[in-house]
Amino acid sequence: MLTLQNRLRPNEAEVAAKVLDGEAIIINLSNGMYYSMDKVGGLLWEMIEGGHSLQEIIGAIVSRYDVSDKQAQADVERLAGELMQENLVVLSHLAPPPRQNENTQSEDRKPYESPMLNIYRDMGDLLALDPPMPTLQEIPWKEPTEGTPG
Amino acid sequence: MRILLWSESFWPIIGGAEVLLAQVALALRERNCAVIVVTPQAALDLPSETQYKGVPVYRFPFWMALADANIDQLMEVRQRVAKLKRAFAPDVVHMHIVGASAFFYFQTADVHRAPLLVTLHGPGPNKDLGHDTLVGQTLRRADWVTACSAALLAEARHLVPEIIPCSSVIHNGLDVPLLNPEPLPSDTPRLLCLGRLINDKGFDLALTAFASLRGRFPHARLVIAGDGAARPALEQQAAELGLNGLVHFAGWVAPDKVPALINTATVVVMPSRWEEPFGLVALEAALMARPIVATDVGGLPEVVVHQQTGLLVEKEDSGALAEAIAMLLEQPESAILMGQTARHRAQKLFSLERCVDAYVALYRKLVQEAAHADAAESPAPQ
Repeated sequence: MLTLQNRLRPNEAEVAAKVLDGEAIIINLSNGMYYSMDKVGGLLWEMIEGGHSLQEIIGAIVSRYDVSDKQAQADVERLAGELMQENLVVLSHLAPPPRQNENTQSEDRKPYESPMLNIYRDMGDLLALDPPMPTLQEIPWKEPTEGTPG
Repeated sequence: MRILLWSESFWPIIGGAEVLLAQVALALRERNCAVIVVTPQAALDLPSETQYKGVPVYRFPFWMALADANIDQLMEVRQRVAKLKRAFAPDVVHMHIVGASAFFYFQTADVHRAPLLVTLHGPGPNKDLGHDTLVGQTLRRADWVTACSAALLAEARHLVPEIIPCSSVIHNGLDVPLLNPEPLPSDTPRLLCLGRLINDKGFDLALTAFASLRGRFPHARLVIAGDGAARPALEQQAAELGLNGLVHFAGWVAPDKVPALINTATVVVMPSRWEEPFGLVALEAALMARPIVATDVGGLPEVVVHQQTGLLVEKEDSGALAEAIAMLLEQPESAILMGQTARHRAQKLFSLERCVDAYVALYRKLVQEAAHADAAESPAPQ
């Protein structure tokens, strides 16, 4: 059972992840499963990587997004549970990061959408389906327009 | 309008969907749409930026980045796709053939928001289209889903009921070839199988059926055109059945040479054992006024009307296939009439113009709805 004081960390032995433009792409390298999270989910992942507690993550979300403490807490607890279930994060016993200034609510908080962990369980099947390609030499009728303006 | 065609597969890869998509791209451009194609950079030396008859084609290493699970490469590809979407600023993204590359569509969906139209050209690799699958999420997030046949749409709606209110059938279409149909050769009847040489196409059943007809039609010949993994087995089967000299394996045929090839056939045979999503070869045959013997699977009964434009038989039944072929060879007047009926019906129901009209109408509807949604979301003027 997770508590709000718990801190999580990426399961680095099995997981590769990156956040770009607020979107997190996560790969479980042990089974080739792909995941993504956008917006609030991207922030959550960055804060997990930064070693923050669930309580701190909730505070950061509430300070930046137009959402109640209660809703943010419910979403963070749900998402943390899903990430653990997928073995993407583990409980962290490392020392907490240096304490930063308390979150203050921005006056211009962004619209909130509950974060989702998007799971792509069929990626392996889809990649297996994509055919091994022939070489161009094996396409005898290759049309002459390739690479030329038509 | 600015249309981004996103396809898991595109020329020079050839299948029914790829042939259709290439024609749709050109037809959209003729209607003054700005069109680009985004497609995987396959594992061969195809250029990353090129043109198909004037339509810009951008190939990205989607499959390699995903298969390698290389997070840096994934990010780099994502950035390149995002840059292209920002620069092109499509009014609609029209995704054909949903596959692994859809992952990158989602990673760049917010870069430039545009309605998503998904066109299904075939069943996916599995029937599980749950919320935790890429194909399932793609269908659920689409603003509209079309399928190339009623059979395929029914299957998709069964698997993802959420799409029922925002989905429809748009049958594939083709232009009438410039070449006029030739009379059906009857003295030396020629049967034609055309398509990828894979088990799903059932060309082995055509060989078995043809062998059983050898005594009744000693002058008949069978042409199997196409290439694929099953070719060695089919060639061996033909030899074992004593059909050397009677069966010709023609190999790949360029799409623009297909009408001339079909013109040499008396009957076009499609013994598919898989659920053909549409069966573009049946349409190509119909446009050349050829009667068709096909299996009663998937979308084929929508293209081939039993006893009017051809004959439908149960799949995996080479005996029934042989009898249907024999009937058309023994009754040339019926065969001619069916071919002509097939051509008239194809021109009426399956023209490329009708198909593209339907897509363009849908683009307009989606753009309009997106504009209304944006207006509703905008804050009211003070």
